[in-house]
Amino acid sequence: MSVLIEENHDLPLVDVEALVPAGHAYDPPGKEGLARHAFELLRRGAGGRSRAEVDAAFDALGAEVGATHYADGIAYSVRCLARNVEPTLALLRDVLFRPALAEDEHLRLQREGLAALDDMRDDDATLASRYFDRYALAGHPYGRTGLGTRASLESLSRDDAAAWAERNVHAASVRLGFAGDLSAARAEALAAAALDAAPAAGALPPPLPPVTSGERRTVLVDKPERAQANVVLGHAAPPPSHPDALALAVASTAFGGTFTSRLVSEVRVKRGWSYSVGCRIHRARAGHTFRIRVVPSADRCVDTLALVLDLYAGFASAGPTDEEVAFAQSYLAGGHAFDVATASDRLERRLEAALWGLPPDHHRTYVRRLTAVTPDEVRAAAVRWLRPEAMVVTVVASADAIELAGADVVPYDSY
Amino acid sequence: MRFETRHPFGPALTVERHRLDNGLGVILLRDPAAPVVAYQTWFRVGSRHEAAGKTGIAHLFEHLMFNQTENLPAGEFDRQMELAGGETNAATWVDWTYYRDSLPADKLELAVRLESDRMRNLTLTDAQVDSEREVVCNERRLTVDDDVEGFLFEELYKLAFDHHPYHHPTIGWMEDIQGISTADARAFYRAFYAPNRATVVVVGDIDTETTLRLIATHYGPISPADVREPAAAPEPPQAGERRARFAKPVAAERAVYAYKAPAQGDADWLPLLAAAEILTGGQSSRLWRELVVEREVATSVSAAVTPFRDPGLCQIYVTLKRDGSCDAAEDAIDRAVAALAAAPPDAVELAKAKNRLETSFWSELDGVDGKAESLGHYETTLGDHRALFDAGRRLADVGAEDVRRAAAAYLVRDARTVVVVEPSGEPADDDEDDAA
Repeated sequence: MSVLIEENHDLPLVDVEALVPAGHAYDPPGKEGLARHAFELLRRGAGGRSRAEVDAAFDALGAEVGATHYADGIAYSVRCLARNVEPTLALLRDVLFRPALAEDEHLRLQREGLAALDDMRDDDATLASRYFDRYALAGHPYGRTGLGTRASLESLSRDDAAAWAERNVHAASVRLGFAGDLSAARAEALAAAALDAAPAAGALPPPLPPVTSGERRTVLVDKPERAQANVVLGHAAPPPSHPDALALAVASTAFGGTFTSRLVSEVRVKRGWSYSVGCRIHRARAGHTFRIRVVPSADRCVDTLALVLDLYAGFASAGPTDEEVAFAQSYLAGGHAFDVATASDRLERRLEAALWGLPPDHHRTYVRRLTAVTPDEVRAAAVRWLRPEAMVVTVVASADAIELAGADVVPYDSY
Repeated sequence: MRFETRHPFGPALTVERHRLDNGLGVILLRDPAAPVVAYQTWFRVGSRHEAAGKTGIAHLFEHLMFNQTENLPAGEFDRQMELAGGETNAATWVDWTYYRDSLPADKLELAVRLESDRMRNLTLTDAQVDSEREVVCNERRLTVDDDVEGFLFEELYKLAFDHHPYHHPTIGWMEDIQGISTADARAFYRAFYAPNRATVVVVGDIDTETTLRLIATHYGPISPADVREPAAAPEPPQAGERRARFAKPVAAERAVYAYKAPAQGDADWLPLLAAAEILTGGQSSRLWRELVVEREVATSVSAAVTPFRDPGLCQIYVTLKRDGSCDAAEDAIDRAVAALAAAPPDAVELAKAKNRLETSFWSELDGVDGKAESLGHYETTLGDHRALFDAGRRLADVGAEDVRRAAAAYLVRDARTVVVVEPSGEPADDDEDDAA
């Protein structure tokens, strides 16, 4: 177990992160949703306490317990009052290393997982991303759904969850991080006490294969009574550790990462066609995905898609101008101070770097490396990686309101 | 510029308030933890100030503030801010509108210059208003028309308030948004955007004297406005429960049970917040335990007390499972409320609620943006940012009987509004296809 510490004494709070490098990308085919299920089951009774007793104990300490889900990993994120950090960490230690994994709680959680699928379908943006992952990353573990499907959730057993915990939650895999109002020495002592309870070190998950793009495809996810079309479009991109990753981040920012970028200017500022529009690189260890999001009204959907695809094709063929590169670099360099402004920000950046296989000084050297990238390098990366011919387009909308040529139509509740 | 107040902010920091002769309030908090600054301008104008037929103008105007001024062409505000590595945004709610700039600390002068410029020199063209009106219509489609939760809460306020302007949504009714003209926007600007209706909040790695000098230089020449703010129509006491039910394409029911609640500045607001926390805060709370864990009829239940200048609502929001029903949730809520109104919580349960609220209280102050938002909200909504610190102290003093009394006084059925959304069709079989 290794420990990350970011000290700050302005507020009487401590954030504790416990990261396990086995996210939903490692769920076996047919068992999608296992990582989320098993990780949540850890806190449903632990250390000789029932689920109700664990809940009451965290609440009594004023601790907010949440889970952060990445494709590559999964983390408990606990925020507590500084005066309660010791009992909070003792509870978290029990959750991680002494879980009850009771059959009745497994069954209850299974029912909750099925209900969560219903809740997910009420949110069009989440639904669009779920289908985008499915089609843009088809065949790759990142294409698997972290929430699972009805069939996969129903197939999960208590023994699946127990095997997941045994395989993934041990001294070598769990990375603990602390941020806030405690000293480094105290954090190390608390981590050491937690480590005492950890099972002996086991294996770490193997690396995943690189992400690759497929062919262009448009999928209309048919949902009734939609006034708008919630659109995600994009394709695979290189991993964070690739030499082109930084140049591509600059290119992405120039295309649609700021309010004055090409994409946002044309779609929102000039035409008012979408309130929400932009692009970003969705990060994961084995490969990013480049994603554009736009939400036009149903009657503007076809025109908006045509505009976005045209803008993208133009940008991909020549890349950004020198001026656009300089602007994006200045924006990213100046804004980086906010990425690492608070202790919890810095802890999060360090955990992400660890999860994605980046060097520990990744963020300390970020601005220097960023400003060293040349416009030619950015253009070369853009031309190499931005691929309109591989664009997968997922549109959540009412099929009776939109005619998308060549689109496959799937019911919104079919996955 | 005259000094007004000074107050400690935690063990090491100090917050000060100053005021320009033109009435502009200036709140400064030097926080050198990181080389960043939050620069926020809070205006005492929100959707409560809108007239019938012009709902949504406060929010639409907030969008228009990012357009051109007499000194800057269109797009230049955002371009200069982004070139400096800054993020800008804004928000409008019932009682306020605020503009936020998050910048590297050495770019403070840029924020002072651009924000003071658009406070008095904004110019609007029909083309810009047309485009931004369309953006806002799309925002409404996104956050209300196609969002079941947004829809449900819009219907709640429409039903719960008859007279007070909290009745209408901050984003506005669609037909009103579509009817707002450039002339309307200009009139709104003249009426409400002036230094004597605003507070600038600056938090970060700043030099206090330099910051005050910059602000005095750039804002000092701006004239105050002669503003006569009409009092919002008071909402008469509610005499009887109100209910509405709607069908939407959802798999399961959702419902909100909302009780008339005191204003944030009222002495009963924190005890009622503690009551709400006891009912739904955390997985061991009374209603979460019953509805989500034991009876498994809901996927979540939460409660909130509105932080409004005038009396608002205490809202209990439940998302049901397919086989759960609002009837079951309502029965549980009624019993839990009655129990809390009849008997104060024991010491353990009260301490639990207060610990959770304390964590939440401090969490809102994380980072320079969070600190500035809290100071700006309390200054604008309650008239004094120091009410923030009072809230922290008063929370510690809330007793079990205070909680019981607040529950008994406010969580009453006659002052309740219930809005339910139910599935418009048969639940899907959820059969999965094999396409990939």
